[in-house]
Amino acid sequence: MSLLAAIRKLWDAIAPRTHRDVEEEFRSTLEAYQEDLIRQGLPEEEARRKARIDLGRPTAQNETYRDAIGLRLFDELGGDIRYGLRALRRNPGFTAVAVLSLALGIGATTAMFSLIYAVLLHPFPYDGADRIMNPVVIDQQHPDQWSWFLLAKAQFDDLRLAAPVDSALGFDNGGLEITGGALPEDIQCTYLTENAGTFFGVRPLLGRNIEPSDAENGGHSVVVLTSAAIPTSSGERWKLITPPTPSSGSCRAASHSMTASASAMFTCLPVSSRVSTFPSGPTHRGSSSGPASHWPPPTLRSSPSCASLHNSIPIVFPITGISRCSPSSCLTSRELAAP
Amino acid sequence: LTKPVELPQGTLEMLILKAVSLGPLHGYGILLRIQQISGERLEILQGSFYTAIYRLERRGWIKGKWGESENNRRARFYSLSAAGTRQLKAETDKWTDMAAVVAGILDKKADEI
Repeated sequence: MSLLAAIRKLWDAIAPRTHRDVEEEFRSTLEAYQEDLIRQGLPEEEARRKARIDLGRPTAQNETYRDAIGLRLFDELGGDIRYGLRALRRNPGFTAVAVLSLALGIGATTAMFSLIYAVLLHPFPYDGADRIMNPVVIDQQHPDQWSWFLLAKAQFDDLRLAAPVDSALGFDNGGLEITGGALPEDIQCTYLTENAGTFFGVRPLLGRNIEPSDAENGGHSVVVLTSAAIPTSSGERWKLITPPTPSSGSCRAASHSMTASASAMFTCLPVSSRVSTFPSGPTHRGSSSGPASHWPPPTLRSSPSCASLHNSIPIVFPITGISRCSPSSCLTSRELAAP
Repeated sequence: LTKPVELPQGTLEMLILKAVSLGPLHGYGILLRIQQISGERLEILQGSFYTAIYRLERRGWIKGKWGESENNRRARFYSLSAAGTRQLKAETDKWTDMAAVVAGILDKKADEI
């Protein structure tokens, strides 16, 4: 069987018959019945009348057919839609008011829901935001007091490999100074591990995000400006950012107009440029002992199969050093506070 | 004069399959064939007859093909498909079993239980 014939056969099997086809078949039945009645002795006119009464009208047979194959519902729906459109065409004034009301209603509701969704339901536009959290150390004597903690590199790597952890991000908040304008400006910044781009899954509006290659060979100084660091009210955007100097921890912005709250600006830098400047000694901030090389506080995203990292034993084990350093503390986690 | 028999619900499709299994027939021919085999005792409602035909064709148990009737009129002839043959056998077995069981129950007398 050729492909065309196969397609045609399939079409014949699934396509509904046409109205004309159904009517023609029924008409042949009607006429055959009518002829039978005439043969039985009825006059032609009487036979025709009786056949119509017994079998019905050919035009009505389409409804029987569509009903039998389950298409009646669509016919009725189509009829209702056509009736509605005709009614709207007859009353253009009413139509305009109705369409405008619907447009405004739908638009306002959509805008409101979008706002609620963005602000309340889904505040963080990150990949798997509902699985991201910050583990913190709390003092059991004062459960309301918590703090982030530093890890040794090996501990951080263990944490990354723990089964419930999909991805781990190191971050540390800091401050930088922007120069190049009339006056230097202090800005807030966050140092991030090189996987920040893939961890958050956020595409930059301009340029590129921090990439794993930024940590190679001792790390490159790359700065990523957050939207808070791009003043828009002044009408001029920062066009060029020179990388921060690791030794001085400052960066320069060319072509700037920093009228918008500079202190609220938020800048992200690869953590590799900051690792060497972390204070040696404490694993837990505020403690005085611990490994010499440190990694910043982690932010974790659980794997999709693990809904929560709370009290997760595989998470706790890699960082048992923390409890050894501070026996009165225990590890818990908080929902993500955006670094 | 024999008394007309009312067709039990759900059996019309089985009878149509049987009628068509004896040879290709157009719609009115199927109706006549069933009435002929039943000795003119079965009364088939016209409304439900074509509904059953359309449904059987949609399910692929019978196949329709346009042809010419004995009165040289264009008519749609139906024949049994392979799926229809299997369905007819299944329906026949089921009906035979059920009829035997019901008949057995109805034939029982008190002293036979």
